Amino acid sequence: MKKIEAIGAKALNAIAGVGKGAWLVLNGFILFFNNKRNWQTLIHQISFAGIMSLPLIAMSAVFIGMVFTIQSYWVLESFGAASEVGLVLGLSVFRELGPVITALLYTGRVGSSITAELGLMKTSEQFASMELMSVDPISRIVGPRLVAMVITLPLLTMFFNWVALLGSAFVAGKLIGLDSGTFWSNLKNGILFYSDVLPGLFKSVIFGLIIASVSLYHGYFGDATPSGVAKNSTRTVVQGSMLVLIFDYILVALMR
Amino acid sequence: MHKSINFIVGLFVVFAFICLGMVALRASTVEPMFQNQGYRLYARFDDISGLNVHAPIRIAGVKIGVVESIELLPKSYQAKVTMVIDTRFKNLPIDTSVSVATEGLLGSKYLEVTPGFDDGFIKSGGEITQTVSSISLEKLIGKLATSFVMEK
Amino acid sequence: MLNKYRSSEVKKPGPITLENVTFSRSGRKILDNISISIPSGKIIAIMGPSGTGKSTLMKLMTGELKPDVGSVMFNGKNIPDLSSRSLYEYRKEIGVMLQSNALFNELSVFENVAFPLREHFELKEDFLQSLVKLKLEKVGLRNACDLIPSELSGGMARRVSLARAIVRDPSIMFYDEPFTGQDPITRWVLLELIRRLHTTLNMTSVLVSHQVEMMTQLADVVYILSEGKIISSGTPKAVFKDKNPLVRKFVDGYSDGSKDMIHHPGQSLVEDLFK
Repeated sequence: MKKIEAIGAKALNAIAGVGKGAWLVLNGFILFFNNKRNWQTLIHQISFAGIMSLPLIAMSAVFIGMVFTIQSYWVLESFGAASEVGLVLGLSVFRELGPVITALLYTGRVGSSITAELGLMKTSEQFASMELMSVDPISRIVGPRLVAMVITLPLLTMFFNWVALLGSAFVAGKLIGLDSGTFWSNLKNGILFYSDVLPGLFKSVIFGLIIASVSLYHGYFGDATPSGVAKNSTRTVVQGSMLVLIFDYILVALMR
Repeated sequence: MHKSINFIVGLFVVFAFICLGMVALRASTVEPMFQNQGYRLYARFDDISGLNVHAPIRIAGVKIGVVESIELLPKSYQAKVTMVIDTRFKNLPIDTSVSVATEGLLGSKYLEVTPGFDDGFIKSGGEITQTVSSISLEKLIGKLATSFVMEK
Repeated sequence: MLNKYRSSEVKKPGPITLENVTFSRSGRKILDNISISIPSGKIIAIMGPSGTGKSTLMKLMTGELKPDVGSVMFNGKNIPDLSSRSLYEYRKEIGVMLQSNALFNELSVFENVAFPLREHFELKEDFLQSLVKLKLEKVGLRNACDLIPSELSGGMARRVSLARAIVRDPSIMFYDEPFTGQDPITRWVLLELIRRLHTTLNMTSVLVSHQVEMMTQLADVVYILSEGKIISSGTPKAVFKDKNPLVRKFVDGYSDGSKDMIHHPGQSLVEDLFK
């Protein structure tokens, strides 16, 4: 009986959390446009969330492109289809690997630090003090971070896609010794921009919104204690990654 | 200080779109939107097994359109295929034929259009009357097997 | 909006009046039917042992919390009823120095103090510079304006927080435990500063504190809170001589050190060890 009650309480909590998160995101979005100064903050946040993530995204993209190429080469070679290696990589990267892996890395790199930043601001009463200075923290703190995250994730995904291809082309051309003309022409003929590349980018916009909601929720509503902040950062990474994967499935199933 | 960070962020955004542009130019085909610039034609087949919606339509191996929809006609039990074809190839003669073809031996199915020689053209929304249904490898093998049995 | 900075005359603040205020959190009554009034132009101290709801009382006056019952009146308006926009308008009249200072740790001292001005007024950069420098001069930190909060000592951080609280020339200043965690010298420096700002800026000052010695020096009116009720009020001299045993316990307890430590209720030591 008690166990069922506990499950019920947890479920109610989860639903309330989703509601609060949606309220926060909606308000953050609307109130973002209330203050002209938010645009400058937005620029700073894009610089933090986007430019600072470039090295991580670039490294991951190059290595994933290279590893994936070698792996699929071994398999394709046994069917005599080694020249299709570029096509296989391109399709996987544009449709799945690009949006999903960038989103997962982004959760760890940006989501967790946004949660920690907001948590720390809450711990040191900075939100309260902003409110006391007649400044709305949802407009000035939540809003720009939300918009920045939704904008930067697709941009980083575009970057990931191209860099992964370069990594793959390098391995295919220089290390395996495939003809690079065939590599690129197979890509060009086999991949459709509107039905393979753009849906992936659309997914990454949704992922950006998910990661922003999760990280801002845990930062804004989470426990304002040092251990609470640490736990909330972890929660952001765990829940953010899981939601990205779940929504990836839902979106793929819906977009078909 | 503001100005320099604005510049760097601007650079970042431009850079990301250059990456997207490179993907669009070098690694994918930016397909024209047939739905907007195309016109529709119909064709009835006895058998189109293996043909999917969005399958390409080709003349001499060059893509000119896509299959928009496939439905079963309730009276004749024939399959009605709606094709969207690029407006650049508007003047298909009336005696044009269309057949279900296969890419390679086991590849996916597509529609191969063979233009005829008549002076009249099929109007938009019209029908290609000469159709050749798909030849399935399984059925061929089946026929061959039964013919062997018959001979015995 | 700029008139406020040009005119030398600062309008007299209306007093804050709390009537029959009750506040409870998670079923526990923190404030029980309290009525006090904050007179204009005075230094008011709200005192009492930790955990008696002093800070809660202050948060009711700043509009951070809403009472369950009762009214908090300012200039004829009930603060808990204000919409968030009018609450923000009201807060332009007040300055609050929080216990944790709440400085923005990624901004410099100068930008911290300039923050409320940048948010609310579109001032020319040189005008803003001079306004902020003047406030920093008042707390003696004009030359520290390029430091960031992590480079400041506790006392300096507190003074920056003070400069930021007064930068909009509030008519009422709230100080939450201004002396807690400061060394004796800093405490007297802060006390002098608060007194000087009070007189030069013609403000009403509300302090929440448990330091009897400091408040005897500073306050005009003292309220002593215990277990959610006002147990004594008046001038510091009168209040600190009050015969009420609860008042005596608070005042003497702080001057004599902890005579009788209050044990957390539960088993006795013998029960616990030799069970």
